[in-house]
Amino acid sequence: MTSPLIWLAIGSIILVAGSRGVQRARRMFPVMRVLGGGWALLGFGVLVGPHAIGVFDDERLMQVQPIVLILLTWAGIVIGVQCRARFIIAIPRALWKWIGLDLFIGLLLSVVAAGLIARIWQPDSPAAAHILLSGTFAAFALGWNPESRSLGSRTDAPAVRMAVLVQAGAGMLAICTVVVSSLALQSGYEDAQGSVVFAPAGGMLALAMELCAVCVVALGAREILRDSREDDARTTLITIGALCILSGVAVSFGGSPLLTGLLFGAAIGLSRRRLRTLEHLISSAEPAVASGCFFFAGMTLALPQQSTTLIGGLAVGAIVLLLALARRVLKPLMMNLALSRERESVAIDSCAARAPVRQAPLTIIVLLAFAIHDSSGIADELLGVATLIALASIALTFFPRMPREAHASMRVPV
Amino acid sequence: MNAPSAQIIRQRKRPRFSASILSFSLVCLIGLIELVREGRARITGIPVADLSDAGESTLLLGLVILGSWLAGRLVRAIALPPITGQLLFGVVIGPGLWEWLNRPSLALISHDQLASLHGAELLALVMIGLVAGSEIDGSLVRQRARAIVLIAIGQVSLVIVTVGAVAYAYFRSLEEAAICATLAATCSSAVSVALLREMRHPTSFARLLLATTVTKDLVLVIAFSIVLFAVATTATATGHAWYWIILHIAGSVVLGCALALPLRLALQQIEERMVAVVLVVAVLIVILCTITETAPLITALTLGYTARTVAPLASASFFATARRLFLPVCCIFFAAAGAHIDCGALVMNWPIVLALSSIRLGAIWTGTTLAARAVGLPSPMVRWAWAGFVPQAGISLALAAQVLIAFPTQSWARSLITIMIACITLNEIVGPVLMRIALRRVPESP
Repeated sequence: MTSPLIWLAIGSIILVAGSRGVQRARRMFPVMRVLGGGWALLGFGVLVGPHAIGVFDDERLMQVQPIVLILLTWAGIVIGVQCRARFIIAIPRALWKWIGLDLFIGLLLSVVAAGLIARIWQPDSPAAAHILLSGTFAAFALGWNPESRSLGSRTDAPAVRMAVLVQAGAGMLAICTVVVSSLALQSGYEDAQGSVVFAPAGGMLALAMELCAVCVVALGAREILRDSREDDARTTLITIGALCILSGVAVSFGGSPLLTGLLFGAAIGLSRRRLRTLEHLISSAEPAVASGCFFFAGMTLALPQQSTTLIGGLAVGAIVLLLALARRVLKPLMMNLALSRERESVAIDSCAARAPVRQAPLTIIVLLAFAIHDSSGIADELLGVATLIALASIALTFFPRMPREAHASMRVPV
Repeated sequence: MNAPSAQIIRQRKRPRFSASILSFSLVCLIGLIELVREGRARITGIPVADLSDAGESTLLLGLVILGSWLAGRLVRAIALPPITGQLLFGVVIGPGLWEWLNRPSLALISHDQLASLHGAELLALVMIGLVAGSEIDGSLVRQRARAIVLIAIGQVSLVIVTVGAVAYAYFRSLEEAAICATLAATCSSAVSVALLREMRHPTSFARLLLATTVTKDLVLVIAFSIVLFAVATTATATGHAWYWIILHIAGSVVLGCALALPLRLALQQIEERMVAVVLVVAVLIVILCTITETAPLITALTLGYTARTVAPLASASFFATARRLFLPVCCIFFAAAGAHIDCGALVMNWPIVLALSSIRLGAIWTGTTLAARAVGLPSPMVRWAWAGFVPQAGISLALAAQVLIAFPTQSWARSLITIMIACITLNEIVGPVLMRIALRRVPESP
């Protein structure tokens, strides 16, 4: 309550984002569907953040950190709730192949890139630092943007099937990304002096304690909610209480709130009896949580220090473009390899098939979780680079120009 | 037996949580928090006392919300209102009890951490005010205006006279007796609305109690301000009581009414994210009240009542969401109130605290019963109406704090307020139990 301006700003943003005028604008301008919502708020976050107007300086950012933690935990729960037995069973073999391929190649490239960078810049860095760096790069490489409606509107069965595969694959890879990046984050922590200590053994111990705590909270919450007979007020109370404890547990043990949230969400999703009120509460808050995360990411991100000079800026731009181009080349290639036998039932040539080129918005949320633990500013810079790559990959999705898709007369269910 | 009826029987037979399971859950929760803090301290080398970052704040907030809810459920098993459990949970985790027992390290929340919960407490107070305002039934107030006024006058006059006399005999000071008596006449809108929300279908008796409490508290805040001003002119105080009167009462009411129009316009524009809207409105009220030095509870009460009356349709989903958030809000507010309780002061001053509280109870009983009989209320209401005015909480504590603001250097003010806070604490613990008994004993009148 010490800085009313912060709350006023956050309040007005939420109110404006949820207003009818903004909803109307989103429907009117197609570009808003691609770059609207989260991206607009990210831009606004950059504008009011410490690197632009400066309404939110670093001290004020620290004051709102509990909210960021709760938002990140909530985002983890949204991802974790997707772990439902019937969803996982329904995933076709081809999609498993695609997910496996993306995971393998993504991780391989991340480890190689981390090794190379560490060898060039910090040859004497410990192995745990490589793990942390690999986990960070994995957040860039794994997964894709699940949204494909903005790319085309073909409604014939193969195209719809393609869109569903894109969405399901993105969901599963989101889980993998959170797990991989959170495990990497656990390899280091800040000690009493504020310096980073790389200790994978200690990290694993902390992770084990984190898991125990999550199990206790998830089991308790599940039992209480089972007894609550879908009571709205009690569901809200348990959710808020669990969110607070889970985010506190994650930060206390140097872990990612996304992982504790994901595990909690998975416990709810895999529950034999469905907790519909809780699931509805979690899913209804999804747009607000994503918007909030993007807003805070906008305030946190920073461009690499090297980009202040012209040559440095050009170099950063070239790296960003190169990484986006790598996505443009590799992601369709992996998709073609994985779905080569499904060409008749899945429209690989549809516009929805280009969705994997775009970087997953989750990358930004994962890096925001990294930034909470990092006081050196490197995570902030990586967040800046991730944003640039995401924007570049969106632009590259439309290059070369997509064919105009024929509109089928009726929607075919998959 | 067909499938639906078998399902109904299965649902009925499903065991509810027993007291032992709730106690075990509560112990598990506290153990978990301790384990996390100790574990973190061991791994990072940062002592538990130095953990005061964002993670620690969210952890404590989670403990307060879940722990006080579990404690509330636990005391319900022995037929006490959940508020009592929430208050007691606050006492157990707060620093007051452990400092009195000479074991301050056992407190789960330190004074600094309690201070960091102040923002959440203010938000909770505003949310309680909003819901309380929306619960006030305008037509009932108009119908029962005579009863409300007479009950309020009856008990307030008697409490002021009797408690004032005892306080004068103890303090030997007219000023201190006047402050003490006015404070004793206040009761708690927050407790009333919390117990009202606990009932699935609030009776007209419950609504009458709430309306009387709110009306009485508004009048008493004015009366208290006048008393404070009078004392300030005789004693050498900072003397900004007039400013305080105008801003706190007129300012709060005007601000509450003024906010109703923009809220109505905003609610017409916003169709989703109502939880965020409720929180934003609550935060805005806190900010505006902090800037203008007005009372958040009165402002929220006025806004709740005005918005509900002026725009019943537009504000329906807003208040429905506020009611959904009411349970966690109550858990935070009452647990924090419990954590603030100074057990040492309560024990040290127990003879005068007990005497003042007993006199207050007797005066409320006599005044309310006589007034209720005079206006012709049904006999169960006459018998039990007094019990609704025993609880004290937020507004009484806020007024007590104003004495310290008005007289920051006077030693008498500090000792007076210690005794008054101890009295409020006692009524805070005993009041909800009595009020709940009353609400259960008085059936809905036809």
